[in-house]
Amino acid sequence: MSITHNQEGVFTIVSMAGRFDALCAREFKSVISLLLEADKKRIILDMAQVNFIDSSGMGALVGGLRGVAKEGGEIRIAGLIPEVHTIFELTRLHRIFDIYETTAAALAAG
Amino acid sequence: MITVLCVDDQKHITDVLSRYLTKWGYLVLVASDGETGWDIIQKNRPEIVLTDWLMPDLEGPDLCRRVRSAGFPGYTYMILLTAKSDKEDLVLGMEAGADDFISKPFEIGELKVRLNAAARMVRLERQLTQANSELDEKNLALNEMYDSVKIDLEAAAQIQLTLLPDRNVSLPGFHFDWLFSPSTFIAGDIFNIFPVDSNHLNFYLIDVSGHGIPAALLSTTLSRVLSPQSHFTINGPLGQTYCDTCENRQDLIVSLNSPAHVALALNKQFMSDGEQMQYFTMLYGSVDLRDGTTTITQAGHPSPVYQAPGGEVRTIGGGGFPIGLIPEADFEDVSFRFEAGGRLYLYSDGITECRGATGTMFGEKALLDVLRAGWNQPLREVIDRLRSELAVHRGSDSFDDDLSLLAIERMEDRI
Repeated sequence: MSITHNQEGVFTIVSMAGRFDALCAREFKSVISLLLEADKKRIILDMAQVNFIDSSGMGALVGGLRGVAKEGGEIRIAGLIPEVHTIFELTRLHRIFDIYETTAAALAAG
Repeated sequence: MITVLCVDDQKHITDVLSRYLTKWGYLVLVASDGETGWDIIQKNRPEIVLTDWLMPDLEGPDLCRRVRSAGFPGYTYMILLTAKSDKEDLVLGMEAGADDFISKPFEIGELKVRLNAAARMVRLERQLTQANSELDEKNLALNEMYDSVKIDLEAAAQIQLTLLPDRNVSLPGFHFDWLFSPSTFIAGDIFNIFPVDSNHLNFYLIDVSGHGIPAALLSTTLSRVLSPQSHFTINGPLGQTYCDTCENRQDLIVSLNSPAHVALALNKQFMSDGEQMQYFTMLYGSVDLRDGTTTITQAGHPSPVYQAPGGEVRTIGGGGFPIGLIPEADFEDVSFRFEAGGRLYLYSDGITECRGATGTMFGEKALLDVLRAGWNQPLREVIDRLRSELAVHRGSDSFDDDLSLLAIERMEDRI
């Protein structure tokens, strides 16, 4: 798993790749808290390259969302592949997150 | 201080050596022949031995051989004093185990630097020995600690097994069997099946996020919260299941409430907070023994598989929030009829997400294939078959997530 991020206007795009599991969950949490410290709280998660997410990954996502929301920020999720989207549906997390087909769509959505 | 033994049958040589070596800070021992030298070596274990080659009884190379074959714990640095300078002689001396040679008559300056080199070796060897022994001690301590943790974990694993339903207990009109395979001693998976009154049979399978000890602590707690105090008592004063420690007992009267209510109550009580984000997925259900009406709630958990009499398989339910993750989560009940001769399989995602050598997951389709094919076989055989297919897919008998499956079969001849 690798996590990188870059700024796109008011949004910080966090790009992830590989398996979103316990190992990655730890890295993800630290990336989110670093962004919050830097007052970057409008976040788009580009998950197009994520091929799997497990329960630890889900926990990290919801934990990240809670932290960001508490600071008045938001997390948008973009680019879920069908297999990962299925897991979001199974756990109903697609109702908790704003999900977009692409990063461009997430950026364009005001 | 480094001890040097000087062995020579000519007293004037040992006298000279003794004088200089003492001056240079060595502790000096003297022997006038090879056998005496060997006795001193065994008794005093000098670090450096400076021995003449030619002596009447035991020659220098022989002394070297004895030292080398004795296998003393510390190293003994052997220097041969010799008038010989032929290549063949040197080879013979080295083969006997000599580390260095000093030619006779010797020059004081050369003697000094050669002894310095020897002392340097001796000190390095001492440091190495000390470092090794410290390492050995640490290894020993680590091993002891690991052994004690392992013993504890094995005991915990045994305790966890006692929380699982007893295969030898028969339920009214139902068979059940299960697969339970923790990835590390103890699991975050837990399940049970139990009658709550004469008309209802409840069951659940839970998968706590993560695995190992943190997950097992929660799964054990949940097992206590969800299971009736006395298992399989059909005609007892049932209808209620309490959590001893819960503040609001109304929340935990799980038995006669719908599965969705159970999920809601658990979501309230086990909401994750802080860093850990520990939560769980659950499949909870209840069968009405009078007509087979079965109600389940699916809390972030894989859909259970229902197998109709005849073998056709289908999954039930479309998902739901996990428990302990979203405070405002709601849960739905889904109902279906558990026909006589039908089977219901609850499982954790450790099965479908089991990764093979190439990274591919076992998948729901492979699971359905095994269950479909096992239609005419007893539950035990279906489970054994699944276990071996998983091991083949994995290419190993050890898995990186907990595996669990609860299989329930409604018998043909009752209800």
